[in-house]
Amino acid sequence: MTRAMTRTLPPFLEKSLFVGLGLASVGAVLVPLGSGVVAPDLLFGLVAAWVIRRPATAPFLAILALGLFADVMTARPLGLGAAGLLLASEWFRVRSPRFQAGPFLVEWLAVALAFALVLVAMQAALLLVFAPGPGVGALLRYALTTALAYPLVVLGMTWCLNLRGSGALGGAR
Amino acid sequence: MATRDSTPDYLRGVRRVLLVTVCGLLVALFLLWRIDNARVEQLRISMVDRFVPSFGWTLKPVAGTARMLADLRAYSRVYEQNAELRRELQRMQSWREAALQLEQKNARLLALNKVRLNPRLTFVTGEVMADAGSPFRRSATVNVGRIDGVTDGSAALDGSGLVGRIAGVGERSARIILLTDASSRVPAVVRPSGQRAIVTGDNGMAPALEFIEQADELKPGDRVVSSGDGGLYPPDILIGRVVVGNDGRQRVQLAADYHRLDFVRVVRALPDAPVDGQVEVIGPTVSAATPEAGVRKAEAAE
Repeated sequence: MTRAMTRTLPPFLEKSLFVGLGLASVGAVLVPLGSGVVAPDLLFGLVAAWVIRRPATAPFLAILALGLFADVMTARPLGLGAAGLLLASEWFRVRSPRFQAGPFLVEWLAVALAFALVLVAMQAALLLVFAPGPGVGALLRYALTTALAYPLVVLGMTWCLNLRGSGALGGAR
Repeated sequence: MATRDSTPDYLRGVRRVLLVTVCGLLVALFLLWRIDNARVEQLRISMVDRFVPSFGWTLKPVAGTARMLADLRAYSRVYEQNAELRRELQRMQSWREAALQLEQKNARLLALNKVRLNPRLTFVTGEVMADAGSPFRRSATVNVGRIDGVTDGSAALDGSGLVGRIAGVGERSARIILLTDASSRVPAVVRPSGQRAIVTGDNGMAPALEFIEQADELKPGDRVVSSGDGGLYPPDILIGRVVVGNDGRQRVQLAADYHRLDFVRVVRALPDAPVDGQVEVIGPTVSAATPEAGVRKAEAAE
């Protein structure tokens, strides 16, 4: 299979699409749904899905900027969320061919576990500096909704935008 | 950025160093946030002020859809609701009559007394634009800010009770820390018994009551109102009712409708006009030595 046969977006357009979707996913979780409803961390799902499928067009600096932006907008402890997102994205980037080859279920579990680990690390860091953190229940719900949202993010990416992994490039826009 | 298969080994090393450095910087940023919270939060609110209004076009339709879904769920109970509303309406008619009579009486008494009340508390009403978006804070962003006279620490109410306090004011937006946030503390009075307590948020839906003078005097259902101690919250604003939580602690079931925060009133406490220097008579100056002039001066001061 040759790349010349399949038409994909030029890299810079795909990168700006990534950044745009990242900004939109930060905006989307800000929607006031009322107290007690925990919005999923859509940005984490988007970055994980993108890094696994298209590692070439998810630049390190863009992920850093998006993470910091999300930290500022969503009232997370500043810097911690971005650090967790970066570390997780690099971990997925290195293993992206393996995840692309493997079944989706494995990828899903890995993303959910990675997000849970990031949350645990954040909670531990907050405890270390004696800052009040959210309760365990709230964090569990956060991890759960993010895990549930992940297949939807992947579906949106592969089905609506046709951004598949390089192993299974579909012929579309 | 090169893909993995084309990355030479030395570049991967460089990448690793870069990653560790950036993460170190981010942790330093976190420590800065912890140490100099006020300034970093000010930076945060100015960014929220800058960006959230431009998200408005995305927030509105999504919020509208979510609200419609919530309303759809309510349709199934529409018949019972209708009957319930009718009953309530009948009850309210009698209250309305009582309120009207009281209002007329109050107006008569005030006229007799020639009291002119100074509206010390005024409100500015704003719409909730965004909520925190993560479980780390219980907060909401409203679309009124410094240009509307909102100041840090002002109380925020909805139609039925206290919602929280302003923490962070931008030019056109402000962030409300809700009563359920873990950093929220409100001095309160429990109404029939007059016990004082602190309403302490703990990220749950019902904040706990702490530092109660005599906890056994509280009964579930008692009204909790703000006491005004500390001067941050105006006194006698309804917070909620006492309930006993699952953990056996006395908690407050909030009166404000936290499931549906659409519009929020922010208290604008007008500061007393400061009097600088000595009171002087405006007009032709008279010598202050004569007692007559002193009297005149006192009159002018009034």
